[in-house]
Formats: sequence, structure tokens, C-alpha cells
Amino acid sequence: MTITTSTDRARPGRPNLRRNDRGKIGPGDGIATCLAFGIAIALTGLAPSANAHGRAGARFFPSTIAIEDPAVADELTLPIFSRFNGAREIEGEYSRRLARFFSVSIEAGRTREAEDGEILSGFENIETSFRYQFLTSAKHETILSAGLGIEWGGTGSARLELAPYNSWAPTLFFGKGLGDLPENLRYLRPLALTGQAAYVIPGRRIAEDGDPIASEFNGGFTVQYSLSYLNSQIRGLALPGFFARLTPVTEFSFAKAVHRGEGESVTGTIQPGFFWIGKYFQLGAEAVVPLNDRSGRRTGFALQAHFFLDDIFPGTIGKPLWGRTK
Amino acid sequence: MMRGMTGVVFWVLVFPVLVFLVLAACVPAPPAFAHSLLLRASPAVGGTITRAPTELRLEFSETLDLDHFEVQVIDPSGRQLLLGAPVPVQSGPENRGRPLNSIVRIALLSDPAEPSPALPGTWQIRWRLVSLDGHESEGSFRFTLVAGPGH
Repeated sequence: MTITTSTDRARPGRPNLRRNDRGKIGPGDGIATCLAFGIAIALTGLAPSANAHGRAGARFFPSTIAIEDPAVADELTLPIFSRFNGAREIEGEYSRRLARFFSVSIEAGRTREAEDGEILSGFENIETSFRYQFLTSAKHETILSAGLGIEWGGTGSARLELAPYNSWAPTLFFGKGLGDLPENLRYLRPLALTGQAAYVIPGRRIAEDGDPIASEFNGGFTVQYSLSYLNSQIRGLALPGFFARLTPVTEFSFAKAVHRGEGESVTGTIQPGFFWIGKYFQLGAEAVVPLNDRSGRRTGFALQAHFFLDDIFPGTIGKPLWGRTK
Repeated sequence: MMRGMTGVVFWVLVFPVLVFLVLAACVPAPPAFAHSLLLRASPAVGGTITRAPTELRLEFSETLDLDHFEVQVIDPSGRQLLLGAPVPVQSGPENRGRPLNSIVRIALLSDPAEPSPALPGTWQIRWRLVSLDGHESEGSFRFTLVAGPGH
């Protein structure tokens, strides 16, 4: 008996919800979807005081490639271009705040890969996520948020043999800047950590071939060192304009399938790189290094362009759909 | 390989620029009040000086809305100093290329009711600004005043 899981091949970019599984769709998917929307709408009334746009006090958390930043914001990532494990992928994600600290986002992508000598290309299943930023501390440079990711089965290209059923991923996100370290460790203050942890629940438990479909733990964390934070908060280095906006980052992503308590080996990637944070957009570039042989055999790369819609269009699509900006 | 590189160049360089240009063309350009970074300061961030400061000079990456700009200067004893109103530094050859009103000068005033010499030790600067689009930026830094020939 084999267990089909999504961890058969690690992917750069966001930890995937599910791939290469087949199952049957039932009415439970629709009820769960409605419930998700209902909870999401109910949460729009809650609004702790804080800043949006990835900021907590003097700390800015850039939108990284493999691991989501913890803040809700009005933003557009287009594209993330990656090449890894013989596949090329282009993704885009649009996020819109429905309320000041609650957002919904939609993500789509197109993949081109070689499998058994055949070139397969097509669109991935569409993914939607809801997120609520429930804690922000300017003093401690901390953001916590929680969300629900949904992969809509059957919305991708049939030739890629993607899951025809929905998958659900309750997720926790965090971000912590180290600006509250003591004075004798001040040169570590530009450091920040972000991370996420998700449990992916497939909409069905049995694939078409009768094999059980596993749930999955996935997530990871990033380690960042902000040169602009160093320059403006710790030691004025009079850096040239380009370097003053750089943030070197290393991302670590993991995934592990779980079936009835039995675990499979972990797959993942390590992605060292940097982000340049501009006034209205940011650019990112990372190498994608497989965590182990099961994750892949060659290093790839990922590139990102990300737009701050709340800065570009503060009066229209760059503000919450309901409620006040602040 | 050349064909693959052409695709990479398009998606990584050309396509984001096209997206940005389309977005920018759809609506009038907003005021230049996105999140602002502190680029330079005098006294310098984390620097050491030997003479008591008489003014503060802050250089930001974006144009400032001086009606929503706050600065605090705290001496080593924890006392918050009186400050003059922030005055934008006029554009000159040394400021070429900087956004308008992105550099401000703030005088450190002496309190007639409580005159005291500048204390040696670690001084703290805190700043906070709110842009017209509601985005907040804040930060703080320190500099050290040591006893010197002019103190």
C-alpha cells in the first residue's frame, strides 16, 4: 500500500498545499468553504491597533519567497519566477485587505516540467487564503497572525494531474525583530525572524487508486538582517542608496507527510538571498538549495517582484475594503 | 539555453516593469509620502561627539509632512530636551537628488527655567512621522557625548 503525498518533490516558493494526488470531491467541501467565509466575515469586526504593511515599530518585514511574511497588506507579487528540480514555475499572488487587519489573497501559477522525457506544462490549482493579524507589538517588533489556506481542486490543468479535491491548511505566522536586544548586542538588533506553520488537510482521504491520502505538516522560517535598520537605528554607515535598502535573508522551508501517525522523511529547501526594498516595490533573488536527496539534486533559483499597493494606490485598492485605515 | 535566458530576462526584468507602468498609468501619481527611511543624521547614528549638540539634522528618503513629524531628544539623565520646530533644509548642490523637504534641521533649545550643561553619556533620539496616506514610520538611535576640549 502506497501513500501518495505532496512531498514527493519539494518546490520553492510557498510551501505547497497538495500535488499529484487524486481523490473524489463531495458535498463536505462546499459546507467547509461556506464555513470558512462565515468565520472570515465575522473576524472583520476585530481590529487591534497597529500598523499594516509589514511594519511593527521600526521593523519592516519584507515579503519573502518561500515563507509568508506575517502581516496582512494590500499587495501584489508578480511574478515569482523559479527554476528547481527540472521545473520552471511562474506564480502571482494578489492580496487585498477586507478590513484593517483581515485580508484575502488569491494565488495562481504556471509550471513547465519534464517528466519521463515528456514536457508537461499548465496552470497549478488556484489557492486562496484568509488571514487575520491578531497581535502587533511596536515595542517588541512582533507580529502574529493566523490564517486558512485553501487549494481549490480541479482548477488547474488536467495534464499536471493535480488534486481534483480541495485541501485546507490552517496556518500560524509570526515575525519578531530583535530590536529589543540589550545594548551590548546592538549589532544583532537588525536581525529578524519570521516563520509559518501549517497543517494541510486533504478534502478526501482515499485516492482514486484506493491509496490513502496523507495530511501534511509544512512550514519554515527566515533569518533576516536589515541594512536599513542597521544604518538608521544602530550605526550610521552612510551606505550608498542601493545598499541602504538591502536585506539579506535565508529561508528554510520544510514539509512532512503524515498518515495515521506514521511520518515520512522531510523534504525542503534552504534559500539564501537578498531583498531590495524600494519605495513602491521590492525585488528579491534567492538560490534554492535542496535540503536532502529526496528534495532534489541540483540548486535552483527564485526571483521575485512585489508591489506595495497601499503605497501606490493609498486611496483606492491600497486600503481596506471596509473600515478605517487607522 | 539562450531561449531560456530570454524567458528569464523577460519575466524577471521586463514583465515587472510593464506591470508597474500599467499600474502607474491607471491612476494619478500619489504624493511622495510612502514609508520613509532615515538615511543620515547629525550627530551620526551610533556616533561619538566631543561637543554638545546645538541642532539635530535628519535626512529621510521621502518628503516629510512636517505637520505630522515628531522628534524627541533625551539626554543621559533621562530628561527630554526642548526642541525648535523642524525646518526643512533648502535644496543645494550638496543635497542634489534628494526629495523636496526630506532633510530637516531641529534646534536644541536650552530651558531658561532649568539651565544645565550638556551631560556626557548616551543620548537618545526618537522620531515618528505619519505620511499623508496614513503610513507611519518611526525609529530611534543613540549617540555618545564624551568630554572633550570643547565640552
